[in-house]
Formats: sequence, structure tokens, C-alpha cells
Amino acid sequence: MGKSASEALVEAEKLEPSSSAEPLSSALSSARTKLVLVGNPNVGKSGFFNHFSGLYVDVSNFPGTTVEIAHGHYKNYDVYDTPGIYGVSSFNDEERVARDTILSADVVLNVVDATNLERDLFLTLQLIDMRFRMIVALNMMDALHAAGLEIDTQELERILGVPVVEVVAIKKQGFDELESRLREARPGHSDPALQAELQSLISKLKPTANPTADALMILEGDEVISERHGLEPIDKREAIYVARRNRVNEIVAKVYRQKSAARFSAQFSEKLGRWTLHPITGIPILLFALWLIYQVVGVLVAQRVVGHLEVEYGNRLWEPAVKHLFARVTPVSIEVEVLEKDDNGEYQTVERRTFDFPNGTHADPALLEAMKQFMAEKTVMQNFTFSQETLWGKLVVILAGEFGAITMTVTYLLFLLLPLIVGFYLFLALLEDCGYLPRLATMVDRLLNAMGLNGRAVIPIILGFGCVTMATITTRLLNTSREKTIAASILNFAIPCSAQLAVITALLTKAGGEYTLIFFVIILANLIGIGTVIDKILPGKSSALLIDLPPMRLPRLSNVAKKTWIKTLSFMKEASPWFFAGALLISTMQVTGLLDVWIRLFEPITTNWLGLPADAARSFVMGMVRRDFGAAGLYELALSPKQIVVSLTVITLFVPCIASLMVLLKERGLCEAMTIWFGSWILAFSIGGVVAAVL
Amino acid sequence: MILLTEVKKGSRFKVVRIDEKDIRTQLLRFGLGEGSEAVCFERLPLGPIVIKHQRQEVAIGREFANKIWVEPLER
Repeated sequence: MGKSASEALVEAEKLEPSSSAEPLSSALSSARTKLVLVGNPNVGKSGFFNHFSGLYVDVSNFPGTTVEIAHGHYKNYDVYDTPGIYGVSSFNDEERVARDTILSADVVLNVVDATNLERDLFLTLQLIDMRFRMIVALNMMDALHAAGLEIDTQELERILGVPVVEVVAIKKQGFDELESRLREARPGHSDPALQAELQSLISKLKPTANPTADALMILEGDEVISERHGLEPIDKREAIYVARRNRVNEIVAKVYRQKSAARFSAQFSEKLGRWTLHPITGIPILLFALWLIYQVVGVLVAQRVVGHLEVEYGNRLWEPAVKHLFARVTPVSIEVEVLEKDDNGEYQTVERRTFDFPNGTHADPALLEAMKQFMAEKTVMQNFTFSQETLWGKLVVILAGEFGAITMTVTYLLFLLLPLIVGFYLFLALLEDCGYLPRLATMVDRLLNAMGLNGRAVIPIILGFGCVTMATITTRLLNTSREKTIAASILNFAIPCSAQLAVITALLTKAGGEYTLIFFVIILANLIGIGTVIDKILPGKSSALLIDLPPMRLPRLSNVAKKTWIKTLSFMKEASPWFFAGALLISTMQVTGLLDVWIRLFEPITTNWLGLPADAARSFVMGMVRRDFGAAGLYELALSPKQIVVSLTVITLFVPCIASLMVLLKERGLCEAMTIWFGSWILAFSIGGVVAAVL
Repeated sequence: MILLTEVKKGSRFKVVRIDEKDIRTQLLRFGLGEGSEAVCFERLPLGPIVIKHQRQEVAIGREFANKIWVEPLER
């Protein structure tokens, strides 16, 4: 095959002596090229990534952030996705992570939203100023035409000096051309005066992948990059930004053309966007969205799917299998409950029999066989009681007992938490992809300002109703440490997670409408109260809202699926160890008798101060392990409606589950986590007592 | 010259001055600088101002909007 003219051109370009613009690693011609995808938020970058990397993707969390960098392979390229950013700098976590990945790139694929050149070309020109070998993909050409606009792509390519390819990523149009022109990626036309200034700075730098890029970062006042080179940042950011902004405006004026009036769909999307913003229409839309999430995640997933998975696969398949393994060599007594469905379709125990294995099941095969015979063809639940007389027995209880790290934790993570997390991230991805989330943040901004937060905090708060642990991790997306503290406090003090919500709902149904209302008022008042008080106590002030609102559009399913998968995976990777650690801690407390001491400590408060049965103390303390344990324990007590409200108030305000505590420790430090944890005890019991006295 | 918080919904204006450096640089990246023209797309009661600049909407919290000086333009 003969070389095309353009390929020959690329080779000619490579031979040019201006090799300082070439990243060092590619000049050495390593076998693989690092291709980094860069673009503003919501430009459809993930569609490109999926195309290039196929199904197999590595997801890695950057140390100290939840920002995920996905990484895949395409031919001799290593392809890296980066979070959406408006410019290369260090304003927030997303930017810091994107910055480091971009700075090490050999080739940059810059994805640009064709309908939003004024915004997107700012980043493009910054990348060009960094002298990366790059190629620009003009995405969303269909939306551009729908808006009645046209872009002179050839002119844009001439001005920028890098290949520009028109693409409609969702319809997979233009990918062939993009692939074939990837080899033409080259440094574009930068501002000569700026380049001269950068050249003089480059000689002072330590060796790095792309000296021009690092020099530009230093000139734009980036402290982290300056420090890496042992230099003081030079704050010319504003002058450079203004000059770049002017160049963008000139380019846009040259390449955009209004052809015809906007099509109906574009107008509708704008109207819908307006409706979601204004409270009068926005609140009903929000209520509808929440109702939908509740129906799907709260009812379908949390009750039906989880109910089935947890019992059938966790309690009846996985846990007995593990316990039987330990039972072979451990003194154990196994109680077999035979279950049958009653007229309502609920399981009832119809028969019980206990089998004792004082030397483990291995020592008595005959009895084990008899037990198997007894269980055959029946629906059963097996309850294991391991002897704790020896150290080994205690260890078995820690690993495979009631709260065992191998038994309960695995059931909890795989069959309860995983489906819920998938459900919540799915909705989050849907709402994010259709452009609703930033508008919701805008609508509730005023409300959250009262608690020292800005609109962005609505995301962790909504997630909190799913899983407080997951939501606490998400507080990282907030701008300042102050906002993170406030959000983490609200979440861990006052938001009941979905594990609790199901039981709370069931108990409130027993208590009746009037008491349900009282409960909601109490919890809401606490939520606002806690936020407001912490806002008053903490020094400093929170940052105001500044976000861009992408056009409303139909979510793209492949995108949503990928996002859900990546987020779920990284959550499970990050949170699982803490669930295991928590289970080990609680099991150890159980085995050593500390747990009972603790429960007895709280009995007097529970009976005298709260007016509840002594057994409720056990439920409260169990709530430390898993919040639904606490709520479920209450379900079995005979409580009056008033007692229901008191006890639910206490468990809702009570300490976060042990996994949340672990994440809280990691995210917010020892001092803050402990303040929240001990504060929860005090708050829950004092508010509970007040409610008991008043009602 | 008035503050962005005082601009009527639907009216056009020109950004004259932004009183905080941080907002200035961040808005520049969104495509808005001193001298840019935009429209007030929506005003939330006591809340953020949403402006529309070319085809892009940006929500600006009230506290920031109180630092942005604009010149109303005739339609």
C-alpha cells in the first residue's frame, strides 16, 4: 500500500528540528503511544473512549479522590479517558487528576462540542499552546444542524493547524475518518509571542514528558507544577486567559454560520431546561424524579430484588456453605428450621430440630447424614451456634458467626449493597447524562445556602438516602473543606439510608398518618438545624455556585451503562475493605462480651429516659453494625405509636453504620469523625428524650 | 451600571466589571469575560441568576452575581 499524502506530511513534520514540541517518550519511539482523551464536561467523550477501548477497561482511582481514570487499549495506543474539564489547571479534584494524565500524554484527542465552540475552544487552544501532538473531534454535528448552524471545518482546521474531524459519536458517524487521521495528529498553531516566552522558561525546567506544557502551567500560576520544577509560579494567568478568550472569539466568528431557524427539538430542550430550573415547575419535576427513584430503587430493588437475593443466596446458600466448612472441625450445634409458605405466601416455621456435634461434623458423619436426610427436599434455615470455649471457636465466630466477616459481610456486600448501589448510580448517571443534575443544583442552591452549602451538595444528599457510605465518599466533589464537613455531618447525623428506610416505612405504617407526619417534621427540623448550627460554628464561608448548564437531551444508554459500571466498581473496590474491617471489630466485641456490656450500659437510658422496652437498647447498639439491624430489631418489639416515633427518631439520628464511620475517618480525619460519632449518641438520645417527654 | 442581580429576566446586557479575580478567571473559561454580551435567561427567587451566552447557559450563585457589574443593552 502506498502512503497517502497526509501520512507523508506527518512524517515530514516529524523530521522537523522543532523536536522540543514532541513529547520525549514519543521521540524515543516507545512501542506504545499514550493517547489521552480530553474535553469539556458533557461533550460525549465517553462515546469515543468506548469506541477506541472496546469492552475491556481498567478503572483506577487516583489516590485521594473518587475521580476515576478509565484506561484501555487500541492498536498500539494506550487510551486514557479523563474527567471533563474547562481548562488544564488545579481548581478541583477533577482538574488535578486530568492535569496529571494530560501532561504525560503523547497524543491528545480533544473532543469538542460543535454546538458550544465558544466554550470548548478555550481548552483546545490551551492544549495547542502546550504543543501536544493532537487531533480535534467535532462532536454533536447533528445537534449543530438541528440548531440551524454550520461550521466551516476546513477553515477551523487551517486556523488551528491540527486535524479536525466531524463526528456524531452516538450514531458512530465519523469514527472511521477519525481513526484513519489519528496518525496525522500534530502540534497546532500557537501564539508566537507566548511560545517565545515559554521557550525561555523551558531551560529552567527539570526533565519532563512535555516541557512546553509544564512551562505553560507555571506561567499560568499553577502551584503544583511549579513546585515540581522547584520554581515560583508566575501569575500571568489572567492575561493569558484574556488573550486566549479573544482568540477563541475571533475563531468562532470566522467558522460559525447561522443557516436556518432552530428545529423544534432544540427549542423543546431549552423549554424543558427552563422548567426544571424554576421552583414552580421545577419542584413538581423533582418530586416526580424522586418518586420514580423510590419506586425503582426503593421498592423494586431494595425490597423485591434484595429481599430475594439476600435470603435465597446469602442466608440460605452462601452462609451455610461457609459455616459447614468451619463446622467440620469446630464444636457446633445446628438448629434446622423447616419453613413452609402460608396462605399469604410468607414463610412460617413448621418444625425445628437441633443437631449437636460436640467434636465437629467431621467426627460424626452418621449424624451429619441424618441431618441431610432431614433437610432433603425441604425449605430450611440453618442456625449455627459455634462453641466459644476455645480460642479457635472464638475465631470461627469472628469469621463465620452472626456478624462474621466471611458470612454476613459477603452477603451484605454482594446481595444487599451491590444491587442498591447499581440502582442509585444508574439513576445518577441518567440524571447526569440528560443534563438535569446541574439544573437541580441551581434550583436548590438558595435552600442549601442556608446551611452553608451550595447547590452542588444536592448530589451527596440525594445519594445519602441510598447509602450514607457512598454519599460520604461523594462529598469530595464539593469545593471547600468547610462544605465537605457540613455535608458529611448532615449525612451522618440525619439522613436515613435505604437499608433503614424500608423498615422505617413499615413501622410508620403501623403507627399511622399523624405520627408519620410528626416523625418527618422532627427529622427535617434536625437536618436543617444541624446544617445551620454547623454553618454558624465553623469559621470562614462557603463558596458560591458557578456551574454551566449543558443542554437537556435524551440520555444515551451505552454511556449511562458504562458510567454506572465504572462508578459501582470503584465504590465496591474502595468501600469493601471497610465493611470487612467493621465486621471484624463488631464480631470481636461480641466474642469478648464487650457488646453486651455496651448494650446493658444503655438499658437504663432506654427505659427511663426514652420510655422504651429494655430490648430496644440492643436494637440501638446493633444499629452501629448495620443501620437496618437497628431498625429491624424494633420491628419485633410491641411498641405503641408514640414509642415508634421515639425509637425511629433515635435510630435515624443515631451513629452511622460502621462502614460509614470508617469512610468518615478516612475522608474527614479522626477529630471530625469522632465528633460526629459521639455527637450522634448525644443528639439521638437527647432529641429522643425530648420527643418522649413532649408527645 | 448595575449589578447582575438587578438585571431583568429576558434582557440583554454587557459585562463591564467583575470584582473578584477567582470568578473572573473561571468565567473566562466558560466563555464570558469583561466586555462579553449575554442574556438573563432565568432568575430564581433569592437564588442564582442563569445567564445565556451564545448557546450556553451558566448558573451564577447570588453571592457571585453581586460582584458582577453589567450594562443593560437595548434590544
